[in-house]
Amino acid sequence: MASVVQSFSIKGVDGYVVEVEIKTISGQPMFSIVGLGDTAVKESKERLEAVLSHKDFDFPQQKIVINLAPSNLKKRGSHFDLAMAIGLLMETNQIRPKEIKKYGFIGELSLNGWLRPCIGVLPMVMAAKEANVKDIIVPVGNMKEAGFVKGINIYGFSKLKEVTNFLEGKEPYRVPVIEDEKIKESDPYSIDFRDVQGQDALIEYIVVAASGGHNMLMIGVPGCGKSMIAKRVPTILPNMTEEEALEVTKIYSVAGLLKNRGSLIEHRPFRSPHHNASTNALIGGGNNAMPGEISLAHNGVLFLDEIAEFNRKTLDGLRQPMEDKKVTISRVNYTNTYPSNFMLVAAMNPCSCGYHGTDRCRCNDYEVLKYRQKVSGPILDRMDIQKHVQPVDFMELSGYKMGKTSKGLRERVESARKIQQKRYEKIEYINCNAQMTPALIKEYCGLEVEGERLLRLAYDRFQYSARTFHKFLKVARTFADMEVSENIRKKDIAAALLARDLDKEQANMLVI
Amino acid sequence: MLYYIWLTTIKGIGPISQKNLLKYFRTPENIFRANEKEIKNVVGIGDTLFGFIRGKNLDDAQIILDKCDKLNIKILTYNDELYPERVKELASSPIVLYYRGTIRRNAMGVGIVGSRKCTDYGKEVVKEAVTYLAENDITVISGMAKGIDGYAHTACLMANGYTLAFLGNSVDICYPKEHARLMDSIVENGAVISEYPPTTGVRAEHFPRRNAIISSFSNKLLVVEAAHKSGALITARCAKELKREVYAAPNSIYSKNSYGANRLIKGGAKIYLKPSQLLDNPGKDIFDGIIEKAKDNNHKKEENALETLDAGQMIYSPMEMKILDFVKDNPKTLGQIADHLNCNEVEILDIISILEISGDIRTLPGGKICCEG
Repeated sequence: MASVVQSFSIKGVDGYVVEVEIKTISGQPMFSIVGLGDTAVKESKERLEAVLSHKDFDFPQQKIVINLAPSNLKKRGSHFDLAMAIGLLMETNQIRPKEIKKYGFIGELSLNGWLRPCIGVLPMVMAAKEANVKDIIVPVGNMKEAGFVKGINIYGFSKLKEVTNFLEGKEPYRVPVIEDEKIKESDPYSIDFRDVQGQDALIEYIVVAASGGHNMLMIGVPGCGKSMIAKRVPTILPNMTEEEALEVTKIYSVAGLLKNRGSLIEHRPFRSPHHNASTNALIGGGNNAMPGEISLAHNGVLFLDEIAEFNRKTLDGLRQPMEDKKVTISRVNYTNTYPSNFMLVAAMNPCSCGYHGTDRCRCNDYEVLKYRQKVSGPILDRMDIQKHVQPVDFMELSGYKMGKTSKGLRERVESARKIQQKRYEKIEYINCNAQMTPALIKEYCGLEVEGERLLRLAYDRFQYSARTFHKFLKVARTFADMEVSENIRKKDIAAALLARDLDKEQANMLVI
Repeated sequence: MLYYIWLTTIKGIGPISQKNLLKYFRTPENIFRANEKEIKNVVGIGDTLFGFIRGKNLDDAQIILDKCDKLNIKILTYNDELYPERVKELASSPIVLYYRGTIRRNAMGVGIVGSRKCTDYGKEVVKEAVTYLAENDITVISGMAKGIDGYAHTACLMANGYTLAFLGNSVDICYPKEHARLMDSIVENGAVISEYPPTTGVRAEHFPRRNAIISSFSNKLLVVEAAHKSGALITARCAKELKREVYAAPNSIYSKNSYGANRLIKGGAKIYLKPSQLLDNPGKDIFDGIIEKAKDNNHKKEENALETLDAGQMIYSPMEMKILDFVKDNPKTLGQIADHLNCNEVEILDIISILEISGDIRTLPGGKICCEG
């Protein structure tokens, strides 16, 4: 009979139970690990040999076969070490643990027999809970991360010997003292909309974007404050629910980006990839089909600074994930699906020299248009709000009053979101105004006569395309929600009509 | 046709010699078939040039002609009746012009040239002038370069006018690239013309010759925003030599961009003040023009006021009046307006939006707000 020990592996962001089977067969000494492990898994054999040659244990001089079942799924990572070591010791009767079935093992071994923390622990422990494995043994360094999962016993150890003693009942479990390092977490309130001065109108549109889940594009000359404003967008989004926080932490755990000994990510992520980013970096990919920036920005903000400088194909890759809120990455080895529900905030210069609209710009309309067409139509189409950012006159700065605080703005966002949640309660896949389908727009965006007249006038004047019509209505709906108004009023429409600066400018251009 | 092209492919024979030969032999085919003695009778043809003429066969010309067929390029020859007589005043006027589109009878018109890096001021001047010309069915002639040239063609086409574009490359190549759609439009409602055979790329030395052709096709020439050493000045010089009227749009004396245009005025070019000057029979004195224009404007304003009163809807609220008054002279940002009114930007969003939609104010590129009209 082979010895069987439970461990876990990860597919995408979800874990699953892996049965580690160990069998010694008499014959020439050799060691093989089967079950489609990657190099890290294969190298376990060297680590195991070194650890078990330690004075406490013996490495069996026999033919050893280790199978990771289900054997047809590819597995990667060094966290199978612990399960393999325990299994091998059992198989060679060096330890006699009681009730091995109820334990799951996660951990990498150092050559001295210490347990090292590894990545992806949170989704693995979540999988354990689902599979009814009640007791999980992890390295001390991963205890905090594993502890997010409630209703499951986490045992943290720092040495292999401690684990075997515990399993054999020689020593009771002692909760290890985790030195809580003075974690220097970036204080979420170190940045605040209070710092932004003299941009009240723009901030109003940001608040609308955050409330209705609208994507937003800011256009402005270099140094006018686009990035400063974008960085503060997460501060006005409602706090994440526990469920959302776990989703985000899972993704970061899989990507190996959890810092601070794996504490829960409580603040909405803000990702700002450089415009040189490849499609794989943005969407996800690589040999192991790892999550990309859009998944790392899940439940948060993806900020694309200088969006016109991004590779056009890379940007177009965003289209499907933005619609579906998830992305499936297929590679030779793996096919993984990651969530990607983010708010897109983009910034760009108005033209290639950067200063269109000021005296120093000499770009003509054709050149300006050419620059703007670097961002493809479908992407621009997904931006409900496009606003100019005015440079603030430095000399006048001192005269301005303090801006509004993020806290106050966040309360408005939260109240508007509540109204939307209630409205879309019974409709699947829709939870904010930006996601409304044409049918829903018809249902929820009734206009007063005055408002309709205004909309018609604007269409005649600026020759908007038919599809912008829906955008105006959606944005107007959010304006109305922010003031808890059942109907869309004339002033909501008027304010919404100011949300398409680029389109308006294009209508005034002298081009063919 | 083949022989015309043949004549242009001979090395060493420029437009002047070509025309001398044509004058003597009447058709290029006669030149091709003429004997040595006859050819040497023509002024300026010596042994070397004769050698070149004799040494040239029809192959290259045939290739060009095939290309033209394939690319749908038409050819205008010197003796064609569509070839305007006044263009021949230019000594170096080409004997073959390749073009796409339609050349109408009496295609001469008003040339408009200027800086590639123009300002909004230049754009406005061009737009007004060209729209006026298009309304009077006068051909607008320019070079399809970036900036002033491009705006001249665009504004003309938008006013349903007829426009000719002269290129420094062959007509099957679009330069600059972003004018691709503009070029298609010109082909539909005018013509793009070049003296260079198909698949000739852009080269710096092509442009002075192109400029000369522009001036030869222009009864009058308007220079808007030309910097020091600008190509537009070459066009102006040629036009002056051809005794065509040259107008220059005045601009700030500090503007680098208009140094050339202002210098033209100093050198005797006429000051451009209003589009009607570009007509064949402009008004009397230019200063009448200014007064007329002022009168026009006043009149217009009164008319507008009457119209709006008629409509009965444009009665401004005190707030709207304050905003309109504030942005009347200089464009202002939303922040400045809010400051002026002592309120928050957010409170006046809807008022601004409504004023904009009703056409009282306009948002400039970059977001500043100004008074319309």
